[in-house]
Amino acid sequence: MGDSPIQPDESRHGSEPPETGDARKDSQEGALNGPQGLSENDRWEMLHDLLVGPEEARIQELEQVPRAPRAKDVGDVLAEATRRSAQEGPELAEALAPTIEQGLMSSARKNPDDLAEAIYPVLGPAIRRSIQATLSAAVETLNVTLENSFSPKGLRWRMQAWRTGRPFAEVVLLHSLAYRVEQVFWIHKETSVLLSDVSGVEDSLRDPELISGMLAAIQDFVQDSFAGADEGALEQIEVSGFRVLMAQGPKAVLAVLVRGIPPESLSQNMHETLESLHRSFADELQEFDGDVGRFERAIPDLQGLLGQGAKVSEPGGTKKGQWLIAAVALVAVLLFAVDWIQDRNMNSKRSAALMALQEAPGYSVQGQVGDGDHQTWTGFRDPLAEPWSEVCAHSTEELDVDIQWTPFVSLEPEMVQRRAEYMLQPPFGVTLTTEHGSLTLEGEASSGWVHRALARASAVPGIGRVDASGLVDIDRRAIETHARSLDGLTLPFGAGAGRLDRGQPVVQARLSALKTLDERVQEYGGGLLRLHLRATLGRMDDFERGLSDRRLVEVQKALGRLGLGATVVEVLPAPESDDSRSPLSGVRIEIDTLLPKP
Amino acid sequence: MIRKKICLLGAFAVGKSSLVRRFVHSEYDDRYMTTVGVKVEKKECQVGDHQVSLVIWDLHGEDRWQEVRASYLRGTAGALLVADGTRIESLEVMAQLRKRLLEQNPDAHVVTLVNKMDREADFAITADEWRARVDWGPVVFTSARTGHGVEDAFQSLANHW
Repeated sequence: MGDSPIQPDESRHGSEPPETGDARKDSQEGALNGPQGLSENDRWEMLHDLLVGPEEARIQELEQVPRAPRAKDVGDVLAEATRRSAQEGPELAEALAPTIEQGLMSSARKNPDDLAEAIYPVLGPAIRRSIQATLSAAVETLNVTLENSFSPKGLRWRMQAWRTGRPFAEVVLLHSLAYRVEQVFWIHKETSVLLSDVSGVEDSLRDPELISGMLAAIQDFVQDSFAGADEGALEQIEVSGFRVLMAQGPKAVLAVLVRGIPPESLSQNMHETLESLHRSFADELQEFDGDVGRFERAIPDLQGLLGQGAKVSEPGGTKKGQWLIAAVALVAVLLFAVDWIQDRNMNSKRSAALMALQEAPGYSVQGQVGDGDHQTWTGFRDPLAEPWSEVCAHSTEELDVDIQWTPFVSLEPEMVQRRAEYMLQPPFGVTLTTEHGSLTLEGEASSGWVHRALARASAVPGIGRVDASGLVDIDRRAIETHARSLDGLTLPFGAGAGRLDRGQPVVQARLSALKTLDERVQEYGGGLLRLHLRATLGRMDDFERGLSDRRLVEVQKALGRLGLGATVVEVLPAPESDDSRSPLSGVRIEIDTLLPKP
Repeated sequence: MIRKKICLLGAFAVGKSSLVRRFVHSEYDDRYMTTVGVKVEKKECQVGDHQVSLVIWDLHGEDRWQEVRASYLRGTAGALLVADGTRIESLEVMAQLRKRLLEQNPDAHVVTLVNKMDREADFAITADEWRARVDWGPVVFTSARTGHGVEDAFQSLANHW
């Protein structure tokens, strides 16, 4: 390329050298001997052209040809030239590609660390995009598989997907991937020193420095044993329910302690966080001298990883979680069992109460409304029935039952008996029995009670007949006994005397006894005392007969003075024969007691 | 806070783990349990007005069949080189380990310990001879059993920071 501008010139000289030399000579001679009209300058000019004209033309041609580029010149225009070339077409890129590829390969072979470190910020996102694409494909496949699944849980998740507008597979993954990020460690790669850490669990007994140290040691061991000093890195460790995820950077490592099964997004977040930390702490990481106080600013970034872990569903699949679930299940079973036993006990108590009520006189349960927890019972209850506490062993509160009783009069024999006793209130000494609608009263009682009882007995519901033959009216009996004791008493008169000596003690006592008997008859109520007076004679002569009349009048007067309120006095005629003679003359009183029938 | 990784290096059974246990937990156990790989412990030391947290890598003992991995020494800020006072051969192992450590970490600080001082009567060579043989610096005589010199040894290493 550099030779091409010279070639035409050389060919021209080469092709016509003799002719050119002759022509020049003729021309020079012509010019020197030229027309006389030319000025001296023109002639000198012509001479100049003849002498150096061809060389000048050649120099001008050479000047127009680009010189061989110098490095500085190329450097000045290379950027602009590259840009223009890229705009005009791909030729430059295609031309440079082999050279650049060779250069990269050479650089990678010589110093792979530098290259890896340089492209690390680019590599992370690129890998993530690739993983996302792969995951999306996997999710699609999973989606198709799940479309055919049919279960209650699947239906529930399908509803959630429909409600939230998310792909069904994503909902399934969200429910399946339960995890919790418990601790985050940021570890300096070179020294294995913990730069910073955060914990999502309170009172963690795990020392972050020890964990980070051991993680670093394990990583060193793994690299030495399985990969090689500069290749590969430990990405995940599983230890009894825990999973340690590690993200490797050029200067530092990010490790998270996870309980459960984390989603892929956690690893992605870790790499993003680690890249961010590398950018934010580039100088500190490069010059790290053990001062970890310079990395406290990283704590919010590390906490972000905790938060992302916590927003997904609760941890599961771990032993602790399983124990928790088992404990909850056990408690639920116990509660259910207790509830069941309580229900059973309650039902048993209620059955016993119902049975007792059905058997108890004066109760009749008609309805039972409600569930196992609370019930309402309806029915009839005789007011004279035994109270609830005497019938049932448990209160209505214990049975959790509301009672609605309607009062009624029971004709059950027990209730008839109870009602008869309630209405008649028999005193001590009286026996009251009911049987087949018959009331039997036996014993002794005052006249007042006897009268009331006999008046009320027939009003007792369920009683059709009253038998009081065995019932003794003690007041009546006392009056009759009293009357019998006085019956036939004689008020004595002195021999031949027609006047009653009321001052005589015998007379006074006997009159007083009659007065008392009269009062008792009055108290009894409705009774009558009938006194029959008959004069007793010493002889059956006229004198005696006349004397007897006076004596009868005398006694009537004396009785009249007593003020007897319930007594009727009747005078009987004197006896006609000696048979009625009495050794003691006077007036004999015979007593009839007329008491009303109850 | 300053946080530094340090290593305990030495032949097998010189008492490295016992020294760490004595220093970190103030305990001693007569039973010998060999260290497999590495065990990491931590202890904070007060140096002047600041605290230094020592992350102690208790490495397995080196012998003819098992060499300490270079990766374990990476990034180590300091080391305790431990020899058994009763076994002169542990000095050679210690010297070899020191050499490898400094090749990998030229700036690492080193403190040299001759352990089992409680059995000084059984020492292969006298304490002065130990001092003479260790030509790279001072020697701290320690006993994990009694605790003699242990605190001082770790503290002298922490004092570098």
